[in-house]
Amino acid sequence: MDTSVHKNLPPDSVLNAEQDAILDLYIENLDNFFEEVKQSEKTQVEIETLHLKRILST
Amino acid sequence: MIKFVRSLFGLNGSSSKRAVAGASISMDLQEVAYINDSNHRLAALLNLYKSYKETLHGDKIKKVYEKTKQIHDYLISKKRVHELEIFHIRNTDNFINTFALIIEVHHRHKQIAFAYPDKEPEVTPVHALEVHATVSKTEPIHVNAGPQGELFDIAQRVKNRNKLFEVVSFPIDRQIRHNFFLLDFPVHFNRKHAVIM
Repeated sequence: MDTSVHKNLPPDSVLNAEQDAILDLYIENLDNFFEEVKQSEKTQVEIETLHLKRILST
Repeated sequence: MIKFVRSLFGLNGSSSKRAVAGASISMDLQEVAYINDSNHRLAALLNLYKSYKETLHGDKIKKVYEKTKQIHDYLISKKRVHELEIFHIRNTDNFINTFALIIEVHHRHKQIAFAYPDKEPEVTPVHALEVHATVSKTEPIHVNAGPQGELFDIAQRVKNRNKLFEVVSFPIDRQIRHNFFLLDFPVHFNRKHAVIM
């Protein structure tokens, strides 16, 4: 894990460099999750559309 | 009840996963419970933010809260409550546990540092020396047990100090030890000393 960016935390900081980096990763992870969730919504719409198409074409 | 009504119309077997547009979606009790839990987690996150507010990391914790709330709102608006629960179990719960623990430990360390500012648990700070002198001057120690007694004065002085966690110790004999029980402040004994916290 790259913590080099966070090495300048003052000594009285509550989080150490690694914990601060984990916090950053967690925020990133939330962003990714949100994107995935929205993406899966689109995928579901596509599947439903396909499903309907197939019903109509038979 | 909902299940029963549904079963009357033969709807119970229909896959609840497949949400058809326009269909009314009834929330069952389990989903309501999930939403309640989710709300509690958001409240816990907000509390966590409050405890980090004054630190360097306040903004980031706030971001976590806001992004989590965004996901919460989105999934609920799409009726994907079960996914919401799984999301929280995998992410939010662990996050709250970890970062609540970190700040709790941090506060505890700060308290200990405050109790022993010089890191060295030297049991003779200034006040202690005074008390020590007072006691040893009166050799042989004669202490009146009553509230007007010398021991009471010492206790009052110790009690009124600014620092709560300072440690004071001075020699005692059995009589003083006995008398101490008549006073209402926390004092610990080892064999020859009374230690007032």
